[in-house]
Amino acid sequence: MLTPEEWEALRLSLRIAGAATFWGLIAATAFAWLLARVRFPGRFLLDALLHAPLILPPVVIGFVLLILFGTQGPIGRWLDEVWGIRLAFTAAGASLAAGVSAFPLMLRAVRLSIEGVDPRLEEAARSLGAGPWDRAFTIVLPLALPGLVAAAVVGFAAALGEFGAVITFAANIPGETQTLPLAIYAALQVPGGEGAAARLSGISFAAALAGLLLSELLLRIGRRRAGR
Amino acid sequence: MRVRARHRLGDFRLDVAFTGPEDGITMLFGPSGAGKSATLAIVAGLVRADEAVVAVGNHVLTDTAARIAVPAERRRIGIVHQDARLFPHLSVERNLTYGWRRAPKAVPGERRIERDAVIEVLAIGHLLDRRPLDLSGGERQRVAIGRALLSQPDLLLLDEPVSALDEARRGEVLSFIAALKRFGLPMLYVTHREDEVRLLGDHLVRIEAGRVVAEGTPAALLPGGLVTGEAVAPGLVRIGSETIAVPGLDAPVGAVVRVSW
Repeated sequence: MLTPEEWEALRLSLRIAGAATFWGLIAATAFAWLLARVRFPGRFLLDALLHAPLILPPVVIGFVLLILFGTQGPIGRWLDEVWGIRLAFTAAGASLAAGVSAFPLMLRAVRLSIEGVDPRLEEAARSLGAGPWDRAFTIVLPLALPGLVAAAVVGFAAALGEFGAVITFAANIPGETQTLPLAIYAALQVPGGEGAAARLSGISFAAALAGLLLSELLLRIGRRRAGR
Repeated sequence: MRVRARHRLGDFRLDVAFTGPEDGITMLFGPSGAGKSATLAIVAGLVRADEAVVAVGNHVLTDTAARIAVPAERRRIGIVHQDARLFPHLSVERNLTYGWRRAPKAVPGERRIERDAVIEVLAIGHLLDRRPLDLSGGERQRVAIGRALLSQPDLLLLDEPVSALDEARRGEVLSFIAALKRFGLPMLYVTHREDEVRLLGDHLVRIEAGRVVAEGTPAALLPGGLVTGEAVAPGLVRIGSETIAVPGLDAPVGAVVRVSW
């Protein structure tokens, strides 16, 4: 039904979106915590900066990433020289681009769920001898779990569909950075490629649907565990 | 227990000093807005006062002059609030043992509050597998008390622990609190109800408008005498428009009784 190249695009898409969601969710949780619980000067500015990918054209996100993480960019050169990590035009770079684009959506969902946890419960845990990390992992994050799951699903869907930032920063390399949307785009560039584009679009649709169903399932488990 | 605190909160000025026995219940008694809960928050380490000294036993927990401020999570002070604040995602059993599992390891010869004794005294054994949301108000409050006790506190703070309950539950939970005296730890109890002071108090600190206006035994500070009332439920007597708790009273409902007040 699918050509080996198309299978490769699907496999790559899932891997890239998975990595983008995993790292993005960790970063989103850390920043959501900072914004929801800590008062510091410049908080408003940081908030705006973190939400920038939501309103920037994706191609601009890709371009900014090239400037920062390209082999000649300040962070990119450091990563290359010290750690031997190259991001531009690699699968890891595609994950970064997809993750940055999806980040504001995850941040928002995580922040709302953290702010939804009653601070008096945390105060109670504190008087029972739980320090800050202890309280985070035993009270706040378990109670915010439905929100974290929602954030992961939204983030995964957004990362799976990201086109502009990925193609700008990581290019369209089959087997390395060519995710489903990029493969669809490439198919449409060739005469008679509509059939392949339609098949790949169908897969995208199926993947999105599977993600939604999985999230619903996880959400139910999370709710039951939270006693709601 | 030794407390001295000065604190400004907007227009409100708190300036209190009192001591309490190391064994028994100290009642912080006064009208709402007198500064009782603010005092409790300073003792618990949840509010940093402008000037304060808080000592429990031999431990100095706050001394602003000496720059001592033990963080709340290391004070070993248990708190029971008006609302139980049980963790909704944990079973009653996991709630009970939350502080217990985090308490320092037992030192030989040290007084230890045992899990089974707490469960028995508070009669919560049948609730262990339940979720907090399935409990009644009185049951939740008993679990909250047990949870605080099991964290092996050096001091137990009770902030209006029965004022969110209806009259029948109130009397019930009050008699459970009276039974806590057997654990032999100091308690600081905030209330605006005189009957709770008479029922539970070993020591009374009366607070009005941010100041201590009287300190001593409840018997000496509250006018006494016999009053006539009507029994409305086991352990509850209505006098005029007020209902007071008289634990152990077993007169039939509707009977006219005379109680010392």
